[in-house]
Amino acid sequence: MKPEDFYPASQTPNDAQRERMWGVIQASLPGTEQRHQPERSLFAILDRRSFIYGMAASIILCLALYGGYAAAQQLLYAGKPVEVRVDAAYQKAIREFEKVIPDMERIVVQQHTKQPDRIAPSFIGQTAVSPTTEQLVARKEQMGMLDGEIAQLRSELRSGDLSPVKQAKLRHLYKMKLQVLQEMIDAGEIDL
Amino acid sequence: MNNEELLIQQACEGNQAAYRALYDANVKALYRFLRQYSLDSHQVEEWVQRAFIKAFHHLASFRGTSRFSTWLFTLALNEMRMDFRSRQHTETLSVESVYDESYHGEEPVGEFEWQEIMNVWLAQVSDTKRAVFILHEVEGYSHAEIAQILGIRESASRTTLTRTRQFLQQQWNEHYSGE
Repeated sequence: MKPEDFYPASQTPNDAQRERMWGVIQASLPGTEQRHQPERSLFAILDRRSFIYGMAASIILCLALYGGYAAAQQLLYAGKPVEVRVDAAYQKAIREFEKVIPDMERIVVQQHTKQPDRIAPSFIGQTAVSPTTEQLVARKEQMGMLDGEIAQLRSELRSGDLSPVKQAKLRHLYKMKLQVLQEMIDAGEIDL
Repeated sequence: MNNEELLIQQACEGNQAAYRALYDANVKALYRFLRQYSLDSHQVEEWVQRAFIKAFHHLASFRGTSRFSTWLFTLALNEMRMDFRSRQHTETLSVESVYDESYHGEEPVGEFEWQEIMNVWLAQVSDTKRAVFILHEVEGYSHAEIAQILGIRESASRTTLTRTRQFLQQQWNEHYSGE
């Protein structure tokens, strides 16, 4: 059966109807150039926006992680026994001290090249005079011995041996090291 | 690549002239088919427009396994069904609305009357039967294509067509067997 035989003419769209329908359809279609251009720019906007959001999110995440880590560390530190905290405080003080004092090895070498034979007194309260290489070597040995003993005691304490005698000894060693460092500074044995 | 595939490809790239060509090739058949379901020509125009707009926006997803018109009819019927569902009633043609009062069934059947008689009889069958009959007998779609358009099985399309034909034969016999 041919469509023309089946459908009455009134059921077939005329030219005006067809144009009217196309007009509505066309109005809803994006143009050739307009179709791709906005999509591309939209993509670029979305891309840039997601990059910024991503960066912001990673910064926030980093800060949050750092905050969490610091808080956890603080909690762990607060939960530790007093002896351990005292030990940590001494360690920190020595580290800070040593940070501002030049390396002993370098001082000895410098001193040796400058004044190989000079003998100078080094005691508190007197005018600072440059020390001899022997004095500096002796200081270095003294510091080395202290460091060795401290390291040994700390390793024993770390393995769980927290006896009061050992703790007192460690504190004493810390005091001695700090004292030696202070003496060296006061006597002008090291250039700050 | 045939002409239709070429036009689809060009339309996909945003070529409106190509889409206009697709529109011209299909609008008549789609409109007159949908007209069987509504007396309101504005309503039919809206379904046609919506189907074409939807088709354009989803052209990239059209895989080309069927004819463009098959896909377009499917989209248009979906739009129509959606409207019917939202309105909770159908405005499909009733016997009365199609029936021309000047026709009494006793006159000799000429070409013009034949169209009206068919419309009257088809208005008495279900929407699916009418759709299967028109799509197959008038628009020339295969049962596989009808199954895709109407969302039914191919065997159901065959059975429906047979039953509709039987019904029309019965009507014919009742009214004109004596001639």
